[in-house]
Amino acid sequence: MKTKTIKSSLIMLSILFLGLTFQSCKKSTSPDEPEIITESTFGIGGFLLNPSSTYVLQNGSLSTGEASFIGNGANVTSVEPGFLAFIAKNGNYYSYKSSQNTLTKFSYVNQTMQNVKSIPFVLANGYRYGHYWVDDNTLLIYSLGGDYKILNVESMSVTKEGNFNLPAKAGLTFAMVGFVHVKDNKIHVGYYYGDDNYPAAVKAGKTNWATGTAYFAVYDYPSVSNPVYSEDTRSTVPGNDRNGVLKTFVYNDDLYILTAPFEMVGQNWDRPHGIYRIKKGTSVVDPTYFLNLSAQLNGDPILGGGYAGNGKLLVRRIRMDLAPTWNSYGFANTQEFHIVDMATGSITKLNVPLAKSQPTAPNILADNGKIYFPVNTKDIDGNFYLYNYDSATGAVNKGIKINDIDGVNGLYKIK
Amino acid sequence: MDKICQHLRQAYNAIFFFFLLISFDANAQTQQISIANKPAGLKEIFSQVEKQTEFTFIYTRTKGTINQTINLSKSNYTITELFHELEMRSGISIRMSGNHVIVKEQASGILKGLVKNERGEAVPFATLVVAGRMVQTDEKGNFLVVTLPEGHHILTVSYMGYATQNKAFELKANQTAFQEIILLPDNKALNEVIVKGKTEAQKFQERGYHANMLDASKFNNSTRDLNQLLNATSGIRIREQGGLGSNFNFSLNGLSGKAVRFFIDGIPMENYGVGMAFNNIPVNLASKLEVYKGVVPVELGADALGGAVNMVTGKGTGNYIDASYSVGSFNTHRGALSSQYRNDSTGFIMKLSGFYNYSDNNYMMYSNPKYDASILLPDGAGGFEERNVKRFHDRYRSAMVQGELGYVNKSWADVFMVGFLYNNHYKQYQTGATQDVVYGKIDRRGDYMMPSLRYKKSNLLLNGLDASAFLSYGIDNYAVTDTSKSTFWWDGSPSSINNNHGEFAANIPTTITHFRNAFLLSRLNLAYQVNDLNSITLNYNFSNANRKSNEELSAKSYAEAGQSKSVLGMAWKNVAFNGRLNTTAFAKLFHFNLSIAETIDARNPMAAQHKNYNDFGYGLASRYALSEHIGIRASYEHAYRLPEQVEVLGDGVNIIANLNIRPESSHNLNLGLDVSATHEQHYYRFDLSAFYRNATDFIYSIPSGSFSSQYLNEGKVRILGGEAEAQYKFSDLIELTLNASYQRSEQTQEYIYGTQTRYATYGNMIPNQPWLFGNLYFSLGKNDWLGKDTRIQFDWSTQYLHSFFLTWEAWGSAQSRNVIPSQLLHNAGITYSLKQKKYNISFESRNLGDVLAYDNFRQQKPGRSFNLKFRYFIH
Repeated sequence: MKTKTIKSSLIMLSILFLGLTFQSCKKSTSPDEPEIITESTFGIGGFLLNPSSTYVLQNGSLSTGEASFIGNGANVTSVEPGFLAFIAKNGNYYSYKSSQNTLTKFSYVNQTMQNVKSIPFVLANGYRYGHYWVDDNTLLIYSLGGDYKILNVESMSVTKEGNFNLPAKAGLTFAMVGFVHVKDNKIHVGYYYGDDNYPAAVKAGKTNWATGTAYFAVYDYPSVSNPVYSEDTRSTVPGNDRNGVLKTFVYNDDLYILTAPFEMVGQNWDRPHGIYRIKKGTSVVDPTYFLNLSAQLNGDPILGGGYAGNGKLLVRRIRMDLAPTWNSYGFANTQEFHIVDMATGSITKLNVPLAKSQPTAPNILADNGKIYFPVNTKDIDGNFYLYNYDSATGAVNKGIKINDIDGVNGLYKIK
Repeated sequence: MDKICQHLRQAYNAIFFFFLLISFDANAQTQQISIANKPAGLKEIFSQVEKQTEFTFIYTRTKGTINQTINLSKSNYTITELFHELEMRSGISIRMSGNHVIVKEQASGILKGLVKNERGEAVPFATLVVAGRMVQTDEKGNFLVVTLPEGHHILTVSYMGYATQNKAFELKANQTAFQEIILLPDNKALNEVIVKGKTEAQKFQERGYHANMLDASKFNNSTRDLNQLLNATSGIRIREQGGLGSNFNFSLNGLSGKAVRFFIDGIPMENYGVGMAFNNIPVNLASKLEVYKGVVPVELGADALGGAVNMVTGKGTGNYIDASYSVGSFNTHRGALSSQYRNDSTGFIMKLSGFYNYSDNNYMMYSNPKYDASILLPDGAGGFEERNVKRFHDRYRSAMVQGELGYVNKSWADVFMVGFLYNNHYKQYQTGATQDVVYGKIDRRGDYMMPSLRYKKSNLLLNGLDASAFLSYGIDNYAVTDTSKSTFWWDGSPSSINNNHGEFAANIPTTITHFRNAFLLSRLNLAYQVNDLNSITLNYNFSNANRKSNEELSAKSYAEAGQSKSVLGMAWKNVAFNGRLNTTAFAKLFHFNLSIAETIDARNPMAAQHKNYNDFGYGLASRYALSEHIGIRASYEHAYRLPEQVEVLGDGVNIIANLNIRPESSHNLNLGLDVSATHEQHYYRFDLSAFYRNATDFIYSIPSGSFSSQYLNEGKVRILGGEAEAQYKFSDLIELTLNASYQRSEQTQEYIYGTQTRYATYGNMIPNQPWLFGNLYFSLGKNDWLGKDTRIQFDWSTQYLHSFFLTWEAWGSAQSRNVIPSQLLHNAGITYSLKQKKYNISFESRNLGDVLAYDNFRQQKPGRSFNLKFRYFIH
């Protein structure tokens, strides 16, 4: 009798437990859809907040149609390098994670980011870094601290590495690299210094960190030797410290360099945002040229943009009058887009709504004379559009509609 | 020591008898009667009374009972005493009417039964009182009361070290009633000075809280720590990052982090410094663990948004020593001591307890690409190779000793104790937030000391007013060292050298940061029993914390900051409908005062600041007994977590003040049903509950400037869930417990802070949260099998955790989602005890199946381990 009671009780309890366990088991779906072959392929990097997660969705066009991240795209949360700052080229994505000393090459297969190869990749002070494509197969990645590696991306092997050995300055931080550009057998490096002692505030709550001088070094390439140094105090922070955010471009064979003393990058409130030039055939910054963009934009900073290729430059302006807090930079409608005509130095505002997105995100893409940029101003359904500017016609168009995401932080040309 | 205990029991019984006797009617006839010829027949006794007094006896319906023989306990009686004793022992009723004494037979029945303890063992020599009669259980715990008058009775059972139990029953004429009583340990006298004597185990559930009481003594031969015990409880999920001493996240019904408060004997754990946590306290120091889910009684005076866990120490009021030592895998050594000496004649009491933990935590890390958790090492040719490696920088050591001296049961105090606690810890860090980030040199070390004072007095100034007070002052010193100029691969070889920064991050220079925190805590608890049905509790808790820190290498000092908290709680407890309805209504008043000194030489200079908070929380807990076996419970609290100093005022360096921060708050609601039954030696229990949490204004840190961050109120969450637990016990042979928990947390914050931008995920289930888990516990034990006074016991436990996603479930392709895989972990142990559990030896294996388990994405937990434990327990 007792055994029977025990037995039946045991069975009952087990059934209860198993019932509770299996009730919630779900069938996982695995839509194995083939990739659609298109002439061009673009990657759209979207993010969600709290907890943050990131996705890359590939699409044949950024100009038409719509895309939803619900059930679509590769979840890249655990592989992306931060701010979705992938380096993309010829069908592959590259992610440098400095905290793990690893560089990984991925390919996008079946809506997943598949690891092609990882290699050990150590750059001193690599928590901020940038890259430059020397050619389609040669990638240069440099760290804020001036370490660099030149890589054959086909074999994922390092062909040259070193440090720019930029001069140290007493009482200041190490030299911080803002851009690297290889041109005409020269490698151009822009840098700046920070002051950890924080000079007296410019005004309440606004303390300078980057010193008021922009520095340039031009070396022979590929030997990375014989540096020629120059400096200029009309602006500071040549380039910027965010991978994939526009730093330099070539117009009429001259090298042009955007500066970013903006609070989120170098933090110098005294210096304007603008464009320097290093003329072809010279190794020093052009003392006769500085295009002061802030002066034409009510003193506002610019960060990020795209160069269309025919003297038309798109820049992102942050309306400081609409940005009372740090959070405003990313999540309030504070951004305008302007076209700089390099021939005249004039600025034209594009007729698009005030936008929001992380100003430090590499989400402005120039391709084939067009410049694509997200206007993350959500409509009533919470959706928004990628716009594009056509440098040939000067027209600005509403492009692909993006659904179900908090914002777009990355745009990539895959092929 | 056994002898001491026996004497104690006898003394206790004598005191009990004495009070029983003097409680009888003092106004009765005081005439002395002398009865000769013991034992004597009833009629003979009455005849002797008639001779010595003026009483005349009238016999009616006495049948044969008048002829029974009674062996009286003494020779000389007053009339009242004599008649009372005769009534108790003969089953007749004796009533005086003038000079007449009417004697008649009572309609009666028989009461018999069994008294057991919480482990199902028989309790010999327990004292039972029913209808004014007193009996004791025999050696097997059985008792028998014959000729008990018919009708409703209350059976009172008491035994030293256990909570007195009252049980109502009805006896019908000429029938036998069977009662089984299970006694539960009573730890209130010495350790629960904060709580009025209402927290006895059997009353715990009746209070109506959504709460669990875990009997830690059941696991005293195991090598578990408190977290592992709690992790097998419904509604609790502890996510550990690694082995012994590792960081953990404790979630209670879906709320975690600072939302859950921890206590030791009612003292908030934050007053014990960083070196003591539930993941390093061995189970032997605890007698039980109280888990309050969502609704927290005022006695634990704290701002607990999601609930609280209270560890109760001490193993009864008597003398005892519980000493144990275990050695196991990963070079793990753990020792624990819990002891108490008490001199009954002087009231002197001394307690000594402590623990020692050491582990290399050098368990194997397996490369697991399936779950995106590969371990990669340079292959020497510019690429990586996958390898399994041992952890190389994860040593952990902690030790604690606590002594208390004082007096109990004096006229001026029930308990008065002075104590001192010291602990010391050393911890190495092996990984960052995931195992991808490897640390090779970072560590933390520190020590903590705390003198304390405890006082308790019942019936202070007026009858029914119990007071208890506690005062402590703790100083916590610790340092976090990150001085390595190298970073490391998983095999311990350097990945970079000669850096200008430490290992924490490439933008943080090398640091040795010293922290010195001082905590003052005082608490007062007053409980007043208004009458049998109503009582009022008042709890006042004041704490003050001062924090100082400086960075040794850069010689930077952070601004000194302080915070004081007062929590005033008041509760009214009511019993209604003949004890069927138990209700506690309570209110809590919070007053926080935060301050920070002036900051000059820093990025965010500011003047000295302070800020006050006053908030008011309230709630209700209630249980209604539908029958002796079934009860329904409901509880609610509007709970708060008040902001901490750093969240409001910043640190003057990297964290910017935000004076507009609001407290986190939540509406917590629980509903429950419990069913229990005892049939002969079978015990069944089933508990089902549902909960709802609606929490808002979560305090988050977000960047605010390139080098700074700021706390903001952002985040709302709604959690719905349910739990079920079933238990079956057969005597002390078998125990089987099963539980399952389900919870669904929904993101209910609509807009991104300070903007009109709507979250795309609004209304979705929050990812990276376990949502379905369950536990099984099975034990099989046999006494006296391998010899007299021995016990052999086999324990088995299984934990199941259903897989969950790292990121938002609906987003991205299904095949690219990161999954934290399901876990099915088994633990097994066998214990052999000798000499009535005086000597115990256990062999235990945790994670028997050597399963690769992850509580967090890319944070592998230890594999299979073995432990051998010796324990000496005398009481």
